[in-house]
Amino acid sequence: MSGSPPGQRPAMTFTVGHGTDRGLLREVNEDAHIAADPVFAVADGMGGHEAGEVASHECIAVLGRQPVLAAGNRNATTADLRRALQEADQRIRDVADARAGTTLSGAVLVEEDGIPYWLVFNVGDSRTYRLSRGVFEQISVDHSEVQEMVDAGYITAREALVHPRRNVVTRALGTGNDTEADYWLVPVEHGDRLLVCSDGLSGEVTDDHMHRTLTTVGNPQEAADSLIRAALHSGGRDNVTVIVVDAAAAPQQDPVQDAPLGGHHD
Amino acid sequence: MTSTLYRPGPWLGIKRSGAVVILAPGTDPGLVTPLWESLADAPSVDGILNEITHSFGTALTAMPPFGIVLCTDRLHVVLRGEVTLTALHGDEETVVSGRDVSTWSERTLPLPDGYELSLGGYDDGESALGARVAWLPLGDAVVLLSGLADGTPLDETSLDEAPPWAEDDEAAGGSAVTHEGPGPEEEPDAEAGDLAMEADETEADEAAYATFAQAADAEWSAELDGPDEDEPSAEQGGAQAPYEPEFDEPEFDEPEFEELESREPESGEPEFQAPESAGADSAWQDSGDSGPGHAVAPMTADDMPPLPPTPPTVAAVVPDPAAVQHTDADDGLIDAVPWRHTPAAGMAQPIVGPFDVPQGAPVDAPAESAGSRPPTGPSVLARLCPQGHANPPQHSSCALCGLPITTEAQQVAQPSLGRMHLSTGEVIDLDHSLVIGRHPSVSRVPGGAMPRLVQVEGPGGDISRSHVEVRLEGWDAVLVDLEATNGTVLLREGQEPRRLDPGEEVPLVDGDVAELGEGVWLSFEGLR
Repeated sequence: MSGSPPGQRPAMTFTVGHGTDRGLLREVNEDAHIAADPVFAVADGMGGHEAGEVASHECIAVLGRQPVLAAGNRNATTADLRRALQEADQRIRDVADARAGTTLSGAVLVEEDGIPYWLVFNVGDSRTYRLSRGVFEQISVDHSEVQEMVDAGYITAREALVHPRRNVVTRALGTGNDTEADYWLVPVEHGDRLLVCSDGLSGEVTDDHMHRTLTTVGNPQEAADSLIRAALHSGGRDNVTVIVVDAAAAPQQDPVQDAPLGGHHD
Repeated sequence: MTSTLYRPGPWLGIKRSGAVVILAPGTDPGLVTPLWESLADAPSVDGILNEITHSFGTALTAMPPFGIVLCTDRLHVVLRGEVTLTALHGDEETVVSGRDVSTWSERTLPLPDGYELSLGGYDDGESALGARVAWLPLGDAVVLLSGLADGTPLDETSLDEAPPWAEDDEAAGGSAVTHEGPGPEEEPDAEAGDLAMEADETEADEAAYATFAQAADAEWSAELDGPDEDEPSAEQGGAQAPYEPEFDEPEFDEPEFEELESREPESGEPEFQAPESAGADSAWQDSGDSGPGHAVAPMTADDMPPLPPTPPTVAAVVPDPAAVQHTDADDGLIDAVPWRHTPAAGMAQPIVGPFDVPQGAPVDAPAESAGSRPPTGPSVLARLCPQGHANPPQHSSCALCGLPITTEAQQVAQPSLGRMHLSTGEVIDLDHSLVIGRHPSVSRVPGGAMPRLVQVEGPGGDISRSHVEVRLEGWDAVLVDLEATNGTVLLREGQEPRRLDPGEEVPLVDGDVAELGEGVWLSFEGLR
């Protein structure tokens, strides 16, 4: 969507596609998202009687009005995000009286020493994945009961997919006393594709399917639409929200010194 | 000798070796003797706390209020329930209360000029009686009391004269503390009037304890039981079989919501308002126990029904070594303390947050740590020399300027521990953890502890994407191999070059050099 200021590396441009769907069974879409450089995030609200919708939207609204996340800014730090998330947490508690919470996952574009990174953050079980050099991996780690069972070796990742407790989140913003996000910092490389989604996608569509779609559908908006359709086809039991962000070294900048992919373009 | 005073009442007070332990009326007197013995020499907060918590077993709900006050180089305070300590530093009052927390409040303060312990009215008559009884001197002894005031924290130089404020108290005819200003409920006369309110608070506390205990129970059962994998459970959030939560985190059950939302609104109450399974299946339901107004909220320390949010000054722990050691105590109980979950404090590693810094003390980075990060980065416990240089708390003179250090230890922004020189010519101040590699990345760190990334060229592939970390742990810089494919070689004066084992961590010393491969090296200077 916009270029980053030229650093010692070729400037990156970012293209985003995104969408959300209520799903086939829910009456309300309690997901909310923001896809505005430098912040790309999905919030999945929970709580009865539309309170979840309030929680997720408040959360995204707080993110959207952070000065440090203003368009084109690359200076956000973990500390900034942490403050923003604390503010969101408090805001949700204020408006929803701790009756509702929201997950939050996504990434902020930052630069250190002129090198772009994804500062990935996560609270709950929405997810951030990355496709880089053909490798598709989940960056965020869910805060969920089944994830903890997987970590402890009680169940396998495959069993987690169908476990009856798979929807139980152990951390969220706006409720509970554990609201701390985890953070990752991963370099942005030419050709990388970031996927942020609610569990309405990851609960319906396998990682393999996501990988295949992201590899075969070039346009990020079409990729996002395709993934949402896939979630609906496979049941659409939950709200589904998808953001796809492509990073590409700007072609007309100075000669690519360190191009990792040797000019791979979709 | 000392100017400790007490006011007779129903609480049990044990004073010995600079420690004061308060036990609520009705506490098993059998606890007194072992406690008295344990205070015989060099008592520690950990030791006393263990003694008390062990004697009450693991049932938090059954744990009565108590108080521990220990004078060493600082004033250590642990309070549970209706026990309030007011410490006086010059004109400043610091109030620590055991109220409104699920477990107990813990603080360490600079040694005060004096302090007073007010013990809540456990029983109307006793409290009213306490308010009328004069203050009496107290040596090392076990007494029944309703309040305690200490004028001198075992400072030999001033033992002979009681502090003026204490004398004033006596002159005033039994009024506890004469410090001006809005002293919270320290006036003994106020206690009787507070009784009705206190009764309410007691109820609230009990509800809070009950809620807390469910989570704690769940945690303990997690240690005993594996997860109930073969539990028959309905898909999509139907009525679930009783389930013991395995985790200490609050949890909420989305299927419950799904079920609610898919129904008509009028059927929306049962799962929310009333726990249907005996084991309180989820925290959402747990909270149903504590009142209909909080049906959705998982158990937390700070949303118990009528209680205000726990002020950070009460819940936060000064992460000094003693406190850290305490939270690591192995009795299983400690893992569940609320401050473990507050975003502000409680991690084993230094994290950002409004740490409980002594009032009036500067929190700013000392002169030498002009880091490029905002002052929200990691912090360490330090003592500042007169010139403002941060030193490890055990230092008695400044490592930089040699001036004697007399100040109390406090949290300061991570000072620079030295410098790292790269083969590229770059020099990086060690005021932040670093991850060095060809395309470095950082995985899953809790907020505030994000290392800085340092990219180095490695076209030959000998250097891994994230190769090695320089991790700052308090006052130590530690070299951590990040399971780099070709490893890291440590060159240390007087030793053979040594390849680190994958994942190995080595505390760095001044002059160390780490070779990453392809001519890339890091050298460490100015370490102390």
